[in-house]
Amino acid sequence: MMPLEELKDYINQTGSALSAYIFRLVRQKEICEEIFQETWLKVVAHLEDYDASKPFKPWLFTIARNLCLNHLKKEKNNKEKETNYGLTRKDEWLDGLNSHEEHLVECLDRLSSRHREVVMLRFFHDMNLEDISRVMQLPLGTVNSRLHRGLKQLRKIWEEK
Amino acid sequence: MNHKEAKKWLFHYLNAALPSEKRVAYEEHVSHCRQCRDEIAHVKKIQENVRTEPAFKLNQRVMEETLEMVTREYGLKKIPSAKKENRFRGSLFHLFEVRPRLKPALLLLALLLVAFYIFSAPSFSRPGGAFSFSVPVSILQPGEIS
Repeated sequence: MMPLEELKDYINQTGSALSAYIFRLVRQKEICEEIFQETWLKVVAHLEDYDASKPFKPWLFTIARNLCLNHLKKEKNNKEKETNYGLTRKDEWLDGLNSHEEHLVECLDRLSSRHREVVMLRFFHDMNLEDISRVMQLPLGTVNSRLHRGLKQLRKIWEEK
Repeated sequence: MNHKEAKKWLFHYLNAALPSEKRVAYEEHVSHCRQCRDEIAHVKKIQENVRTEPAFKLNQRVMEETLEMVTREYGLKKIPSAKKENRFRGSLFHLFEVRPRLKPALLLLALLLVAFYIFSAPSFSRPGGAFSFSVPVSILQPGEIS
């Protein structure tokens, strides 16, 4: 089993990336913090199930993603979230952004959620396609096509603005 | 590779998802096509922008709380006992590098094999065999057997 010190290092290293990922999915600061903590507690509870021969990050992100989806299901506003995602409310964390950053956030917000998630995991979280397919529990081909479509969509949005 | 084809493979190329022969053909086309080169540069710029997307920053207090919670939960966790581990090491399963989780599946398989052997053995169908069953003639009424 992974020693506690190693686990703490992981928390410090991947903490900000994980919270950014969770926030992208749930879009609420408090819920994001809750799910962040719950994710790590789940990691501790299922530490013996972790296969050390595989990378840790996809396993961690899968747990976080499942918790986010459970939360969205529980709230029964999954559909609403997908359509309103980022367009109706400006979050306080966006206040200090310059115009370029704001433009970028808006462009990403306009991507459909299924495409945005793949694009973010690939380029923002620097995951390879195999890891993304593990996190999203999707076949590699689907991830690939979503990535291509996502990039095409993003390019179109970018040019429109 | 012509320009139309090259446009189709742009995203595959950027994601390193092109097979090597196609990649060579694509690169060869790009080397003399300015439009494709501009296209690649443009999409690469978008990708780079995504990389720099401003991320949500987690509160330091939440991070500290999480570390505390994890330390506490980790302490409460039952570490697999050495005794159990030793029992596994001494067992037959260890010889074949079979993890204990596979035990039930292996036992079930063994049972199925035994059952298959018994029911398909000749003694099951042969009169007088170990598993054959016959009705004593004395309890049969005349005319019951044609």
